Amino acid sequence: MSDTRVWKTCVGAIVNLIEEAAFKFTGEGVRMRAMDPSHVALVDFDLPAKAFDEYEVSKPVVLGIVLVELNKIMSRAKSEDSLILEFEEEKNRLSLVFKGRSSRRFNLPLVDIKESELPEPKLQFGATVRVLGEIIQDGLRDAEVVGDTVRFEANESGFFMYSEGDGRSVELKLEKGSEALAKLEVRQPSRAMFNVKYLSDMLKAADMKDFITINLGTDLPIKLDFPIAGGEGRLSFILAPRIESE
Amino acid sequence: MGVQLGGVLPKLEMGLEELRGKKVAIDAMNSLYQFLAIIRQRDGEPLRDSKGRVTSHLSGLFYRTANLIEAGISPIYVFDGEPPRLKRKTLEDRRALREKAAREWARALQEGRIEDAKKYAEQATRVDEWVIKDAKTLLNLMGLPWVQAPGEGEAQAAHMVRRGDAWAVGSQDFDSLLFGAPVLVRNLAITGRRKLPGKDVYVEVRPEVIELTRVLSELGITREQLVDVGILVGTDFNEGIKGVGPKKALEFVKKHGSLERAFEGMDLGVDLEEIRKIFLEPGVSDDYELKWGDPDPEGIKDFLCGEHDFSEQRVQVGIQKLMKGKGEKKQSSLEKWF
Repeated sequence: MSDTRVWKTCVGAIVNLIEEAAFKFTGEGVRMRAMDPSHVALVDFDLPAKAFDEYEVSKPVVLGIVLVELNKIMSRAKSEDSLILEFEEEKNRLSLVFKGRSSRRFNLPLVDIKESELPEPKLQFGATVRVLGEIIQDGLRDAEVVGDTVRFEANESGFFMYSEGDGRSVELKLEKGSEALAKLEVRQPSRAMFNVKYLSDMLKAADMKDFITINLGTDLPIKLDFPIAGGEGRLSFILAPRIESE
Repeated sequence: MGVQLGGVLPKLEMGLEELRGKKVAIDAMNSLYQFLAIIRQRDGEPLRDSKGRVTSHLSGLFYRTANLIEAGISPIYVFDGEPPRLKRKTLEDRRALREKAAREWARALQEGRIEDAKKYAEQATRVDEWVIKDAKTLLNLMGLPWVQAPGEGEAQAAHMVRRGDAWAVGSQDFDSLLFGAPVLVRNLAITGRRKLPGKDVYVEVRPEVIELTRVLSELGITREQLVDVGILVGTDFNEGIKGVGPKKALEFVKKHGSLERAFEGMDLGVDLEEIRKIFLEPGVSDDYELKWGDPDPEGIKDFLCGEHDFSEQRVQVGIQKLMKGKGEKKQSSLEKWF
């Protein structure tokens, strides 16, 4: 793989939610789906074979990886490095080779993780929007200043983020027709509230210049899709909302 | 009060903040008793309004419940109904003790023994019908649910936790474990810096969580055997055996398996089956409704400040805490959508 950033940013975003995960390598590509321990967030990672310069998987394997360890290793990658992932079956480890001016090989022991098929949440979203990553990041950083929750809202006039706490509040408006709003499809005006911290962690996977697809429904989980590897692959997050107490 | 099992139970100390979002079925009698016993002046005099009526219970119930709600905990107060037949003797004994303590309190006051006066005043604490009525009035104004148990409040609270309507029973007593409560949380209403009784020493009191499955597995006994341990030590329904504390009782039950075998041919002076039935098949009800309403700030002020001379400023702070807790957002789980 010539672009190490894909692994680096994806792992960096996922590691905040999930400690260890089972990556499934098949002829089609790499997939990983997991929920955080509190079952608030779900991660879906899909990187097809064509996103790699070379891809060779003789038989499907599931690799249990401790993400904290993988993240430490990935943080050592330089931007000009290319990355080779090798599964050494007899030693039950993954080796990561960073090829730049030198060649550096990390070995990472694998762990046993039960591969559980997670069901797909049944969600009837009311709105789909595509927003520039940078805008969402600004909105979340604003929200962090005033509180720990943020409300996402989409209606005919645009896309909005709103947060309040202890009398302070902040609102972000992205009106219909704005350049940073590539798509505004509203079947039903939708709004829901989320934990800012979770969203900020997820956003670490986004390239600020990319557009993020957001699916929203009133008091429903939110689904965020980030294009990865130049749109070849996909990293999705589903996050459960916060609901007003009874 | 209640079965004395403190020394042998495994417990976890927690911060109040770790209980955020949880519902707790609180033994109302136990709490009111605590408030009336503890909230007193140096000479043992309880708080009173300008007409001389005692208000310690209202003060405790209002401010401490407001603290719980501010911390994101939802309390459900559970009130006692009819006591089981076997409890009547205990209740009568207690009444006699209280009356004696009340006389000692008066004497200590006369003789200027302030510390003794406070001690006797605490022992003379009683929860009368009007205290319970006041408490229910205040809970209604605060928009909080309360449940009337058919029998023992702790049994009903334990039942509600088993049904999943609450996470834990809140009480200082351990009886709810014998009633089968999966989780018991102690010190809820008295969390913070507290003075040790009779001493000038302060300690930091934190919530204490006791899980029934852990209790049983660590002690290596069944719930039935835990009830037997309680019976040996003494419960609200029998006196127990003199000189037998929880450690001895536990050894005894583990060694012999059951009380019948341990005391074969001897008369314990109690109807074992009747006491066991109280704990293992208590009278409880599914007929209750848990509804969290909005607090009524004007009503609270009329009742506490207008009728009972509470400081308007302090009550306002309490009301703000209730409102803040009300606006709390809860994190949902994805399970709901699978």
